[in-house]
Amino acid sequence: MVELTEAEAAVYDRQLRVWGVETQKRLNAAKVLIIGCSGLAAETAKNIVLAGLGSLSIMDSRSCKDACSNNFLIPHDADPAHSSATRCAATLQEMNPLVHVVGLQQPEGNHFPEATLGQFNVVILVDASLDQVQQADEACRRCNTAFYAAFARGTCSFMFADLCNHVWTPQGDDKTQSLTQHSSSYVSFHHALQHPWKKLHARKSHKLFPILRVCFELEQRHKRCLRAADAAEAKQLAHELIAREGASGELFSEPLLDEFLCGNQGLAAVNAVLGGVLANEILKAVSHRGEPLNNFMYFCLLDGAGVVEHIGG
Amino acid sequence: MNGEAASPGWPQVVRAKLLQQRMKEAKILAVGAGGIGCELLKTLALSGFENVQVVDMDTIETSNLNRQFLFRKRHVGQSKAKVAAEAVQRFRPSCKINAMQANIKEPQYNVGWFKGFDLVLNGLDNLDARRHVNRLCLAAEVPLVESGTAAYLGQVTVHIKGTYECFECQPKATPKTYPVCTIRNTPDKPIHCIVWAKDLLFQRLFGRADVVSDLDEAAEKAEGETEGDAAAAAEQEASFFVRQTGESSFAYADRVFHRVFCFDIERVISMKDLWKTRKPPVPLRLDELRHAAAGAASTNGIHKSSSSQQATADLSACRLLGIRDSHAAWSTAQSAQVFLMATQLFLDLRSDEVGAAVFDKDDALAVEFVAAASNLRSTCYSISPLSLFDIKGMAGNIVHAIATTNAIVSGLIVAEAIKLLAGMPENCRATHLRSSVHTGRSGRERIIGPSMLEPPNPNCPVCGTAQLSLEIDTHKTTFKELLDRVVRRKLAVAQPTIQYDGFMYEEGPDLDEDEVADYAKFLGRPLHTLPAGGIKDSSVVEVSDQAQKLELSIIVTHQEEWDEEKDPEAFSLGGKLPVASADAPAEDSSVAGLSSLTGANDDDEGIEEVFEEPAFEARPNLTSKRKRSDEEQSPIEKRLKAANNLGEDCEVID
Repeated sequence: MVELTEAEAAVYDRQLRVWGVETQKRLNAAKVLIIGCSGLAAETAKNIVLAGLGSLSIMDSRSCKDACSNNFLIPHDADPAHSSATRCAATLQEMNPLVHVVGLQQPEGNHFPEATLGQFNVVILVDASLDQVQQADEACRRCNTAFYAAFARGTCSFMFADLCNHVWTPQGDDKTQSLTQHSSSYVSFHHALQHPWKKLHARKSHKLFPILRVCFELEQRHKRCLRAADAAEAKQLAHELIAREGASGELFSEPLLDEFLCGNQGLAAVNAVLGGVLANEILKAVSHRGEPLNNFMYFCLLDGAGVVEHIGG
Repeated sequence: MNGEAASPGWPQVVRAKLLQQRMKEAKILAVGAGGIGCELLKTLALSGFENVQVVDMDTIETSNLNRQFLFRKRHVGQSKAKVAAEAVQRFRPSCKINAMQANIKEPQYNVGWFKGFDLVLNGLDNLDARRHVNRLCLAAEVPLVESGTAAYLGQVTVHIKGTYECFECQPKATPKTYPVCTIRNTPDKPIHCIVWAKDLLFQRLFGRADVVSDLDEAAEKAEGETEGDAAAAAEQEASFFVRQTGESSFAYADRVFHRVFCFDIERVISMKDLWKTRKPPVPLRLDELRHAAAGAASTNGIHKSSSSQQATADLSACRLLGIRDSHAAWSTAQSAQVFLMATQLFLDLRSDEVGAAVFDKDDALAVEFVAAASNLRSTCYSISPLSLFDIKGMAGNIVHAIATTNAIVSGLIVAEAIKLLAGMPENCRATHLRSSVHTGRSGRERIIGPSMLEPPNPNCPVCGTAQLSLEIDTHKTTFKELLDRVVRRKLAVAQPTIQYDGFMYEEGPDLDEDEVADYAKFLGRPLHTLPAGGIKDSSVVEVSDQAQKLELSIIVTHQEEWDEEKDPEAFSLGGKLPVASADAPAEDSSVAGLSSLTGANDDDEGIEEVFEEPAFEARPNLTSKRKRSDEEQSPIEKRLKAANNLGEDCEVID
């Protein structure tokens, strides 16, 4: 692999002390695609561009005017008609000139062509609909591209990882690096979502997971994203599902469902936390260093905990 | 909005108009605009905070750019606070950020000034400044949200006077110090040679001469000479390193090389007692390395005119010598080349700094000099040489830093800030960010773990009423040494007032010149010879700092026998202390440790460059006493939690 340049060594000095030169070289060769232009997407993109990549493409169809208000990559005086993806790309490019950053227009509809996704080592879908997550995940699986989905709604957030079959070595710098290879296999989003509720731990299992299933089914029913007004219908469906699955009523948290349906974008504090965790995972995935999380991670302000949970394996 | 039945709980309250208005109006002090600071200012602005004061004394460095995302290459050299404030306004002009490039320890930032804020949020990297801010927050009764990160680890805590622990209620590790004798005569680890190269040789060649003499004297005394001899020897030693009139930089570099890697080594070899159980060192002869070092030797004198375009900051011996790989250890010949070249470059192209230079980890030439000198010394003592990259890390006490951890921590800080503004301190938590994922058999794990905050420690000498005990040699220790090593360094007192029956000593900006001169007379005196009977066995000494509103009392025990290996500082401070000097974690094996022995105070550093690097901070608290898990809580807390439970209530944060 190409040696680090003097400029790279100077800028990346502090992180080279964390993950070593070898990992940095792998990062420098990676091609990553982020779909979405929300505040959470901006956090994630910022973190991985700072770390250094071969290239980052950021894809969104919205204009600057319609982009999320907490996307800090878009200056307040940006031309409202301009593409938000292009504007974010420009800021990111300035942030780290050593990475090639591209803004892309999102194709019409929910369709993600494999020919496009297959060009990347990792694809991250941010703040999309759950239906889109399922479609993009299936497409990525077919072209063997690592896939992440992340959502932040108000005070709640979660991320999902599908790295298909992922080979990795434990984390460490170049000197402490162990070369023992491990492999982890992942399930699809579709498979994970169908995980029987009876198998969940009534008390310990994170309460956001059943809510995702409820929201997914309602989205399918209405062919649109959900909002606060859908809360009553969602609650009814939740109770129906509990009965149908023969699961414990403890699995369902009404306050959490309200929180999840409240916001159309994540609070800045929530975006910062999830965007940081997600970026760490992306860097692990492209460098094949460090045990990657498998497969859900939740962070909600209700309890302030960040919980990793393996579902459907 | 507290207490009424209809008012929303946490976290529904974040949507309450009243809270949003409060966030808009609240006056927030953010201390530090570095790694955590940049992320914090962004997250605050996006959350709807509009009145932020940011204080940071530092300027932007290239090595910040991998995580301090508000800065660009073109900003290198400019004020962090100012550039960060402008950058945030680019995307959120409604957020008014008042930026000050200053040290938070300056006296204008007094208790009255701190009282002007609703919340103080720390994004600091050094213990000294954090302890100072802690004391001012206690005095001003302003809640403090503390944070720290190191590589993948991070933590956020909340300190409220009278309700929760203050920052100093639990021990904090302070930088490690090394015995003077080990550094001077018997190094056996690379760090010993690095400390020698940085704090002794670099200082002596390029820095202020008086800074080193203290160390010389201590060392000579340790070798059993009388004080008079020691002083004379130190003076002689110092004068050797002065460049003679008409001496070329080449000749000087050559002379110094011979002195420190040959003559001094031979002198140490002659101290037979030292080598009974150790392998004696081997001197280096420049003529043997000369053929390999020919490149440097031929450059006899380098003139400013020949490289006038080259900025001082970019000056590099390695570049001129064509040594590119900073991750490989140099051969002895290469180290010699770099040593000679770096010395010459310093004398020829940075001559105006000679006599006043201060080692800086971002000064390439200084780092190269230290790397070359420490590797040459390592060779003498059969210690493996290290790469430039590693030596830079150790000499600069650089702790590992990445963007993601700072981003996560900024989110956690703002969440606590919002709880405090919502009037819900009972919902505040201490939160730890763990480094890795191991879902294990349960298939479930917390990587971000909140835990209940502890009530104040009644034995805390800062917010409680504890007395400290000090064992020290009251005959040999001077008053200045007490002030520097114990009061300033261990107790983080900025402007001490020292009192005991019949004696008072003060410092501070309000003193007039006569008073300062009067007080200065006490500094060189051994403790037991101070006025009114002196400080001796069983003395009770009151230490206070008006600016910090701090009062401590110390009970002194006279102790003459000190094992230099075990207690290189030759004193022991006890009691329920805010400091734990013993085993600092690896990344805190501070090279700066020696500077206290040499009398160089870290004061000028204040808020250091790398804010998020509280080496001492993130790790010890993860391993220190276990915080109460959510299971061991009061009935009120349990009720609160029952309402807010997401499940997952039984995994203890370890």
